[in-house]
Amino acid sequence: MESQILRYDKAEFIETDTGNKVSRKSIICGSQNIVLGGKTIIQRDCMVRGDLRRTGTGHAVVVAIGRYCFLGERSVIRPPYKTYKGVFNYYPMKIADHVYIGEGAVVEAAQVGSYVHIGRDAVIGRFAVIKDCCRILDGAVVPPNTVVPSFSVYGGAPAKLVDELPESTQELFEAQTKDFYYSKFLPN
Amino acid sequence: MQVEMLSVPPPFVYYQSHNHLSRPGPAVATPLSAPASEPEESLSLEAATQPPAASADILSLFPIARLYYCQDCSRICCPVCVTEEIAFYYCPNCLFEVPTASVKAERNRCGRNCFECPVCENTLSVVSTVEPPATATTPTTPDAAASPTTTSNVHYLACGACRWDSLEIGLQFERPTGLASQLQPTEDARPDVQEFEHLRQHFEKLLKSKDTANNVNPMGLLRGLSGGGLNLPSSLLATMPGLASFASIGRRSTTRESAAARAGREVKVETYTSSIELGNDKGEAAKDLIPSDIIPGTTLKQRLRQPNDNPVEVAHLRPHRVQLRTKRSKRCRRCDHMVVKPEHKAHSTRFTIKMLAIHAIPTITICHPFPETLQWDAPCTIILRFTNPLEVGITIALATTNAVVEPREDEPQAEPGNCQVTLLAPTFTVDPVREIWDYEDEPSASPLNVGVGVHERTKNTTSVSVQVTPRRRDSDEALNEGHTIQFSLLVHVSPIEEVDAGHLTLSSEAASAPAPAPVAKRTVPPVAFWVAVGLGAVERERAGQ
Repeated sequence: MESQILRYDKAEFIETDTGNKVSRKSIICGSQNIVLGGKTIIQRDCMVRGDLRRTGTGHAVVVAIGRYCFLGERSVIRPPYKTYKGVFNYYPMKIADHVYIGEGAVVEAAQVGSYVHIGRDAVIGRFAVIKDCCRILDGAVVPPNTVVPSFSVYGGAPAKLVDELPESTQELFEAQTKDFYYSKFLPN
Repeated sequence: MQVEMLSVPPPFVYYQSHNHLSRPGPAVATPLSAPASEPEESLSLEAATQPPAASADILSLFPIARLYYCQDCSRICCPVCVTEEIAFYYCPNCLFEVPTASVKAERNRCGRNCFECPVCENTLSVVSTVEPPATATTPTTPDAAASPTTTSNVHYLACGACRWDSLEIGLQFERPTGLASQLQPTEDARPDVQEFEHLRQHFEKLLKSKDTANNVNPMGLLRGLSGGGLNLPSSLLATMPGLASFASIGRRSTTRESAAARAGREVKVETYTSSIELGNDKGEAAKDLIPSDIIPGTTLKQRLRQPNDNPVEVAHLRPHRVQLRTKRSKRCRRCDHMVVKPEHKAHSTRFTIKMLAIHAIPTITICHPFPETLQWDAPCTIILRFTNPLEVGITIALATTNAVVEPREDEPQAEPGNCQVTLLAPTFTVDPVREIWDYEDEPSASPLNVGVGVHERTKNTTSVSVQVTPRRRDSDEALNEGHTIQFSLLVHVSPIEEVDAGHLTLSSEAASAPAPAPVAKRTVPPVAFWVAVGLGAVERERAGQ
C-alpha cells in the first residue's frame, strides 16, 4: 500500500536551491554547522542541534545529513558526547542518504548509514553505529555503542535483532524515499 | 517467518512463486491469447495460468521484496525454493570477517573484544579505570576517564543498557585488547566445552578412517559445508530446510559403495565414553540443579545461555562472547545457478550477483484513493499501480479466478472467493524505464487517461481501476466476520518487441551490431504469475442498519 499524499503549506517550508525543504517551525540550532545533502525534508518541530560542537575555533561540520532524507515531526537529532581523559566533548554525527526518521525519534548515533528506516518514537543511544539498509522498529531503544549490522531489523527495548531484511531493501527504500519526495510531499 | 509475513495488515499485494508448479496440470481454457511456444522452457505458461490451490497459499505467498528471479529457468523463486549457502561469517559487533578455520576454533563466536551482557543481551563496552595504588579512595564509580598509566589500569566490561558491569562478578582484565584470548583458559576448562572437544575428537577419528576407505568422497564436493567429508545420513539432511538437495548426494554415495569396500573398512564404531562420569542415581543429581526452595534470580533465558552451570543467582552469570552472523548466498533449487551472492566484506551491502524479482516482474501496489470502508454488496473501486522495471515496454493482461473457468475435478472443495471482481482494464501497456530520469529532474506527471479503466500513466507506471464487490460467502454471519476481502489475480506479462527491422540507423549502437539485431535491453521472456490482493475486513455492521 502506498503512503498517502502529505500536503504541506508552501509558506511554512523554506526550499533551498538544492531542493531541501526545511520547515520554518523546526528548531535548527547552529545552522552553520549543519550540512544537508539535497532534497531532504525537515518537518515542523524537528530539532537539529548543530550548536553542540567540539570546543575549538574554525568551521566544523557537526551534523551531516545526506540526500532524500526525511526527518519527521518532533524528532531530535543531536550529536553524541563523551568524557575522554577528563575532557567533555561532542563528536560529529553523520547521517547518510535515503534515511527516514520517524516522528518523535531521538537520534544520538555517531553514524547512520544509507537506506535506513528509523521508526517513530525510537531512541538511538550515543555512539551507536547503524549500517546501511537497516530498519529500527517503532519504539525501539537502541543502547549506546551498539552496532547495527546491515540488513537487520532491531526492535524492542533494549533493541535486539528481530528480523532480517531481504536483499532488495536498497532498491525498495530508495524508491520509497524518492517517490515520497517527488509524488507524495506536495504543496497545498 | 512466512506466517509472520502474512500477518502484515491489509491492504496487501502478495505474489505467488512458481514453486507450486512442480507437476504440469490439465490445460485450462483461458481468455488470454496463446502464450509463446518455447518447448524447452521448464515453466510452460499454460501451467502457470492454473488458478492457485486455495489452501496452498500460506507457504507460497510473498511480498515482491522477498522474491528472486532465476534468469536461466525464467521463473520466480521464493525464499523457500532457494538453497542457502554460507558465504562468510562476521561478527555483528566489530564487523570483522572471520575466516572459516577460525570459526570452528572459536566455536562460532567472536574472538576479539566483543561480549554480550548476561542480563540484557546487549554488547558490552570495555571500560578502563585507574586504580589508585596507595590511597584507599573507592574506585567504585567507574568513570571512563582513564589516564594512560599502564601499570595500574583496571579494564572491565560494562553494559550501556542495564548498567551491569563485570566487576560485580569480579572479572577484570590486564590489557584492554584481546579479551577473548585472556578468557580462553577459563573457558576451555568448562566441563561442557571439554565434553564437546572429546566428542569432536571421537568423531573426527571416525571420519578420517572413513575417508581413507572411500577414495572418492562425493561429500567433499559439497559446496558451502566446510570441513572435509560430511557423512550425514540422507534422512537427516532431508529434514533440514536448505539442505534437502544434499540428501540425494548422500544416497548416491551409499549406493556407490560396494560390499567389498564396506568390508575393507576395518574400523569399528567404538562406543563413546564420556569424560565425565554420571552416577546411576536416577535423577538425584537433577534435584540439585535447581533447589526447590530457592526462587531463581535469573530468568530462564539467562540460564539457558549458560548451560553448564545453570546459575540461579545473578552474581553467577558470566558474559558471553558475541555469536557470529553469516552472509548467505542463494541458489535456484532447480538449475543451481546463483541468484544472490554477497560481497566478501562485512560492512558492504553490495552484491556480486543479485537477481531480484523487482528487476524482472512488475511491482504491483495499491494506491490512493482507497475506499474508506468496505461494505457487503457495495462495489468499490481500488487502484492498482503496475511499475515496469524493464527497459522495454510491456503488455499486461489481467484475469481473475471468476474468469478462469470451472473448478478442477481434483479440487471439489475449491472455495469461491469472498468478493466479486470486475477488471475495468484487462489489457494495457506500461512504459519502460528510461535512464535519463536518473540524471535530470522528474518531469511533472501528466495523467493521460489513455484507454478505458486506466486511471493514470506516469513515467514507468500505469494505474488501473478494479471494481470489487464483497459478497457474503456463507449464510452464517459469524463466518463472514473478520475475513480479509481478497482476490486472486493472474498477471500475464509480455515485453513489447521493438521492431527495428529495415531501419538502418547510423547511430553508434547500431553500427557495432548487425542491422536487424536490436540493441540488447534488459528484458525477460513472457511470464505469468498469480497475485493475491487483500483489501481488509468488512466493517462490522452496526446494529439497526
